[in-house]
Formats: sequence, structure tokens, C-alpha cells
Amino acid sequence: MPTPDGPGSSNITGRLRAALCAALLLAGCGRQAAPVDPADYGSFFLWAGVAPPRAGARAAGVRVPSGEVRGGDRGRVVPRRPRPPRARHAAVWLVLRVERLDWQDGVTDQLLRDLARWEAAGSRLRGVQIDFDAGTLSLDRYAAFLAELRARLPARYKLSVTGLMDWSANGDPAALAQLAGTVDDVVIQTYQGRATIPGYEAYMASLARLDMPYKVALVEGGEWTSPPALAEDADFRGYVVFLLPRPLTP
Amino acid sequence: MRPRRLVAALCVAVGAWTLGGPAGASGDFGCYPGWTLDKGKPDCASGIVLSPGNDTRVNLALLLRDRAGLASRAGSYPQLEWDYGYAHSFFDWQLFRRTFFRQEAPAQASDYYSGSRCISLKGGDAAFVAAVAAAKGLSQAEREALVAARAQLTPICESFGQDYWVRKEHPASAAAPAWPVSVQGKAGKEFLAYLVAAAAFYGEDWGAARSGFSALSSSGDPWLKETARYMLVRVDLNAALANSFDEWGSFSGPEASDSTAVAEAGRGLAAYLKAWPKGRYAASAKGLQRRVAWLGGDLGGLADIYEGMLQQAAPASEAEARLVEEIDNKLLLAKGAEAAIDTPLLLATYDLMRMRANGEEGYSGYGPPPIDEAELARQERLFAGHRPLYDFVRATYAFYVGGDAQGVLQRIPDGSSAKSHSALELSRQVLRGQALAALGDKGEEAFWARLIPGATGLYQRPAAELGLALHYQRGGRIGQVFAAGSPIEDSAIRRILLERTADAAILRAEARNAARPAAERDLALLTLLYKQLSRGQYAGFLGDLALVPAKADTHAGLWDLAWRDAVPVGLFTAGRWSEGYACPALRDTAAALSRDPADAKGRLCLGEFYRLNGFDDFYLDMDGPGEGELGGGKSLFTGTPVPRAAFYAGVIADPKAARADKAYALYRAVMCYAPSGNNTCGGEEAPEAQRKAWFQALKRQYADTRWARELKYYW
Repeated sequence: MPTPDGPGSSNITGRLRAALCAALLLAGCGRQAAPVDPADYGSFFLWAGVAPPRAGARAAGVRVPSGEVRGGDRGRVVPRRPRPPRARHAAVWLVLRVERLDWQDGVTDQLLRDLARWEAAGSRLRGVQIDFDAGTLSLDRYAAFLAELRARLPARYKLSVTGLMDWSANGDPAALAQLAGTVDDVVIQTYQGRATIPGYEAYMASLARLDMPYKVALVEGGEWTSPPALAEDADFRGYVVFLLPRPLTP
Repeated sequence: MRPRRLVAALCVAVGAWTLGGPAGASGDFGCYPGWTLDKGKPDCASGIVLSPGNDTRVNLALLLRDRAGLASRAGSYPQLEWDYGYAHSFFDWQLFRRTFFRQEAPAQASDYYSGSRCISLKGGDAAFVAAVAAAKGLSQAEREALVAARAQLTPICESFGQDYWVRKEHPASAAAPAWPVSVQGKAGKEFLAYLVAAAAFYGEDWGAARSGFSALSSSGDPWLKETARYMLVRVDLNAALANSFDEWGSFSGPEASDSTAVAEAGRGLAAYLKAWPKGRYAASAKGLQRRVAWLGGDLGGLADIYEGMLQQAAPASEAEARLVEEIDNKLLLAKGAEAAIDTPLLLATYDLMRMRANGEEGYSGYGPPPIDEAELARQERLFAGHRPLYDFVRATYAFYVGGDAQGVLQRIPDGSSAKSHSALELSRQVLRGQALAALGDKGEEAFWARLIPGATGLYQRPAAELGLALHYQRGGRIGQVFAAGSPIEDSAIRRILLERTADAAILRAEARNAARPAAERDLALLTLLYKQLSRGQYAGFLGDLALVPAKADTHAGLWDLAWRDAVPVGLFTAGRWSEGYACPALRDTAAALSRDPADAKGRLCLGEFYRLNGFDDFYLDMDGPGEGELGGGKSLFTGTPVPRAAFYAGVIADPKAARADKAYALYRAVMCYAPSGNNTCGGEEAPEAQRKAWFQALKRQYADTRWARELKYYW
């Protein structure tokens, strides 16, 4: 039974490739860099305004941006999605992009209303993902913020956060531990723009020090070679692929 | 280097599908922009100089500021909750908007419904009450029954079960309204029919709404007649989008809308405005004409409307900022906009976007098609009355696309001595400076020096200073940046050069320079001490250690030091010296190495200092800024850093080293790869066979040592 979020969840080529790689890891198969093909994965991240995922019809999980709390306005969520998702076949995460943490009271209320609205539209709502660019220095503040948010979320929703690859290398261990106790998973971003960040292998190696469940976010078409240690890390929970928009002109 | 977020190239394309939200050539807020003036493609941030790489909203807003003469005004830089490296040289659109546009308090009351057609519900309540009060032929009982009946619209708006707003506890659809049977008069029945049609409208039953409002559009009551005509247009516009949202809730683009309904709405608006040019809904109807043009793909009409609105917008108002966002989203990013945009400011903004570098693979289809010289030449008449802007657009093309720096000098005369500069003029002059730099012109240094004093506007001076600093960097003369009387005052520019490029003499002088901020001095000192230590310059290190102030910070962390308020320079005097293997204070370790650079204990203890204080993989000796960026030049600091891996190899190979020291060197050499197999000690990665050999040597030859006993594995 393939993992729902792992490569090759329902794609025979991907499954074969994954199996082959596992068998031939020592021979260097795992070192073959190939562009990330959404067809090999089952979990996706949609950007606001991006057309439906080409692989979305059989997606197991889709992370869908709902809106953002902007730096200039701590009083509300600015909506970025005109309608709630209504696809029923995939587990959906509501993604909230956040530029500041000092929310006024109404913001969480608005988030809770959106969750109810999405659920009512037919989504199989798994939880909330907070997309905040927490510098490693402010991780402790971030952890405190997330603990407060967790307390207000209905227990049936999970809480996830976007993480940066250098958290495990540079983050304050105490703050990371606090974070680990609060969120259900961390989605580690490995790309910048439309490309995988060069030198990602070194960052990935340090992820073993991150003592919490995490997923690895890849960018469609980006380079990716799964580091050998990744599959052995008990905290690794699979991949999420960031889908790119289609060009304006074909 | 930390991961950057989504860059502009992607957002450009994304924006074309976005409804409502801002889009465009924006970066994300967490980003590390390249410190250069050459911005031929989108970076994650924008600057004060108009360029192809800037966010299109920033470019347009800069040009608009010039219309009101705002650009050269001094002001105060925004306080960032967290500075990711923008300093006073970079910003994203949101930051720019906060800095340069007034902000209105966000509306509270209607927020709940904003973004949906229910936004008119509350205002409609009041208008309905007034209309019922003013209407002829209604009994008092009918008036009361009608006003009470209107309250049944609210649950509909709160419970668009599967499409919009949901009541908190009851996500099912609202119950069908129960309309009062007591209203039986002719006028009363018309008002009731209006409520029934409005309920259909808010409840998404377009057919019923359309026939209901149609029947009322010849009503004898003036309010009902006018309102029904206006509502018919709103019905058409909503119906036009019935199939425009996919299963993920994304907008599928204006091309997915129902063109018949859009055309009908357009005709309805024209008829309404003809009949009621100053009507109750005239302002709204004019706004909806913009929506009709957008949904109908009439980009030419849309461009005309926007140009008219730009002329009317109050400079630096929130409304102007929102207009810029809308223009970006609905026009600049629309496919085919190149045939529609024909007014100078919009055209210049659009042309700059079309000059963006596309990389080796050429135009990928993201964003509008590239522009060429012939098309620019044909645009000359469209820029009539805007010669300096036209010349700037042509010169920008020459510089970024044509590779013709000489062409820039021909089109833009030297205006560097002006006492102040508009946004356009500063952009023109900086571009001239860039061209002088590209040509290696002898006059470049003097040019920047002349430009700096007149760069009085917010963000302007750092741009001119960056030009001069990059000039000095290219010539290997960054000492000039720190020389007495240097006009380069921007702390971020100085700090980047201090940590990446400066030699020991500059660092020493800046560490003592009382005229500069404490964090800048501390960065100079930390860089000086670290680089002397890591390059084996122990005597110099010991001499400069005295510069560390008492009670200096030890906790601030060792990353992004150029943006930080605190720099942990106290680590050198009050850091951690040992953990298991006994070491003296760093001063004594450095003294031992100064006497004998091969001193085994000295080497091992310096390794301990690096390890215990966070200097492993220290970014100052790892990948730095790219070539051509500030701090990307050759470092003037002499010597080569010695990683701690080399200390262990040296002690292992040293026949004179004490037995206990050798055992510890073997232990540490193996531990460099714990626990992930990843080398944390710098230097070339040792093959696994080597690590195994170290492990075995420790276990066999030093079995009686604490280190042999403690080590259980190798990696």
C-alpha cells in the first residue's frame, strides 16, 4: 500500500521508479536528479489563482490558499480565493499566508468562519496550514502564537506550518521543541521561485535533527534527488508538490 | 543563504488568474534581494529605480508619485517588524504601499460580506426602509409587514450553503422565506415582488431574479423602477460567472464567463446611465462598466477607463493604491494587453515588464511577449509630451536588452548635479551611472559622487550610494567607502562590505569608529577576530581582542549579522571553551597557537571553540553574494580559512602529539559526521573508509582512553 502522500501513490511508473531506486540505492540510482513530475506524487500545494492541478483529479491531498493576513493590516484576512473548494475526493488543507503574528481578535474568528464555510461546501477539510516566513530567530514567538491558535481551533482540525530548510540547522532547539509540541506537521520548503534551492542536500541532511513529523515540499519541474537518509527518517511523512501555473501562451 | 520565497516571474503568470486579490510582479515578504543596481529581471524585491525587474505596481506608482512631485521628499523609513535584508534599499509592494500611501481604517461593518454580492445587503436594508416610507399607496400595516419581511434576506446571505457564507452552527441552506400574505394592495405587491426577486438574487437563482426585476422595471414607483433596472445588471454580471469557478474554488479567468450575459449587462448599464445619469446607482454603474469591459475581454475599453481613473485619483491616497493593484491585476497581466495600452505611464510600465530577461531558454509564455526595438520606435507618438520618459524607456531597452550602454549615454544626458530628483529623473541618472560602469568610463566615480547629495527622497540616496560602492568594489578600492569624508553612509552597504570584502586594517578602523552605530562596529570586530583566528593570524587576533567591549553580547546567533541589532562579539571573550576535553580561555589557546601553530592542544581547543559557539559552517566563509553584487567581489582579507577538520587530521598525523590529544582528535574526526553522515567540520569530505579507519584506530590503539570508550559508532 503506497503512502498517500509519497511518490508514486497511484502511478505505476512512479511506483516502479521508487522501488527500483530503493533497490539500487547503493548503486547510485538515488543520485539521479530528475525534474519533479506531479504525476509521481499525490499531494499538492496550489497557489492562489493557479488553475486546477493537472494531477488534481486523483490527488490524495491538496493544500489550498484561502487568504492572507498582510503586514499592513492586522485586523483581517484578505481573501484570495473567491469560492471554497468543493472537491470531495481529496483531503483539503486551508492555507493561510501570514505576514504578522499580532492578530486582532477578529482574524481568528474569520479563519474559523472560513473553515466552517469550506466544510459546508463539501470539502474534506483536514486542517489549517499557516504559511509564515519565521526567521530562525523568531521561532520562539512563532511557537507561542501557534499554541494560542491551536487552542482556538476545533480539535478535529490539524495544524500544519510551512518550514524553511535552515530551521533544523540554525533554529533554537528549545523553540523547535515547543513548535513540535504544538503543530501536527511541518512542510519544509525546498525551492525558491521555480527552482529547487541549490545545495538542498546539505540542508536536508540536517533535517534528521528536526524532532517532529515533517513533509518535504518540492516545486514542480524542480530538481530533486531524494537524500538516502530521508527515507530512513521516521519523522519524514512524504512529499507535497507545489504546482506551477500554466504559461499565458502555450 | 536562506531559501527565498516565490519570485516575481511566477507571480506574474499567477496574477492573470486571480480574482479580487492583488497580484502582479510581486515577491514574497521573506527574501534576500541581490545587492546590485542591475535589475533586468524580477528579484524578490523592488527598488526606488524604475526597472524591468521591479514589481509593475511599484513602477506605476513611482510614475504616479512624480505627477504630484512627491518623489524627492524626505520622510522616514518604515519600521520593519523583521528586516530580512531590505534595509533602505529594497521593498516589496506591501511595504511600499504602507510607506507611500495613506491608509484608511479598514471597514468593519461590511467586512463580513466583502467580496460577495451580499455586500449590498445592509445598505439595501436602509434604502428599502426609506423607499417603503416614501412610496405612495401603502397602508401603515403594509409598510411594517414589508420592512419586517426584508429581514428574511439576511439568513440567505449567511447560508449560501455550498457557495458562499455559512451560518456558524447551521451550514445547511436557509429555509425558504415566508412572505407576508397581508400585503394585498397594488403598490404593496410590487414591493413584495421586489423582495422576492432580491431573495432570488442573494440566493443565486438568476432566472427568478431576472424575471422578478424585469417585471418591476416599468413600475410606477420611481425607486422600484430605477432599482430594478440596476439590479438586472447585477443579476447578469453574477450569472455571467456561474461557471467561472473550478472545484478548488479558483477563478477560471474572464474568458470562462458567459459572454451573452456580459453583453446584456453592458447594454443594461448604458441604458441605466442614460435614463438616470445622476441616479442612485450611477457611481456603482460606472464601476460595473469596468467589470463588463474586463469580463468581456475589452482591454482597450478597460485601458481607457483606467487612464481616466488615474487622472482623477488623489495622489498617495488609498484609492490610488487600490487602483494600481487593480490595473496590474486586470490589465497589465491580461493576455493581449500590448494591443490595448496606449497612454504614457501605463505604456512605460508595461514596456518595462516586457523587457524582462527570459533566461537561456527564451520566452516561456509566462507574462507578456517581449518587446523589440521596432515596436518601441513605433510608440514614440504615444509618448508625446513625455520625452524624458520615452528616452528612459528606450535607454532601459538599450541597457538591459540591447547590451548597448553607449546608447544610454546618448539618450540620457548627465543631470547628476541637480539638487533633487523625481522618481523618473533619479531612475534616468542611475541608469546612466550603470552605463558608465559598464563602459568602464573614467567619469563614473565623480558621477555617483555628484548624484548622491541630490538624492534626497526616501530610498534614493542608498541607490546612488550603492552605485558608488559597487564602483569601488570593482576596482578593489573599498577602502574608499570607509575613508574619512566618504559619502557612503548607508549602514547595510557598509556592513555587507565589512563582513564579505574588507581587509583587517579596514575592519580594525571601523571597529573603533565611534561615529558609526554599535552593531556596525561590532560586526567589523567580529569579522576581524573571526577571520584572523580562522586564517591563523593569531598574533593579530590577540592584539585586537582588547577591542571587545565589556559585557558584549554572546547570545545573538551567528546568521544574518548585517541586518541585526546585536552581534555576539562577546563570544571571543566569554564564550564556551570546553565540554569534556579541557581547554583554557580562547585568549590562552590563541597564545599557544601564536607560539606554535601546530600546537596540538591549541588546535584541538580552537576546534572546540568553533564547535561549541556555533561557528561550524559559518556563513561568512560559505557561499556569498554573486559576482557583481555588493560583497561579491574578491575579499581583501588575506589568508585562507582552516577548517577544524584540518586540525584533527594534523594532530592525528603529528608524531609529537600526546596520546590523549591524538585519541581526542580521532574521536572528533569521527564525530564530524555524526549523526547524519554529513560533514560539519568543513574541508573535504572524508570517504567512509577513512572514517572507519579513524574509528578502528581509536578503538585499537587508544582503547584505554575515555574517548575510545565513549565512541560507539562511526557514520
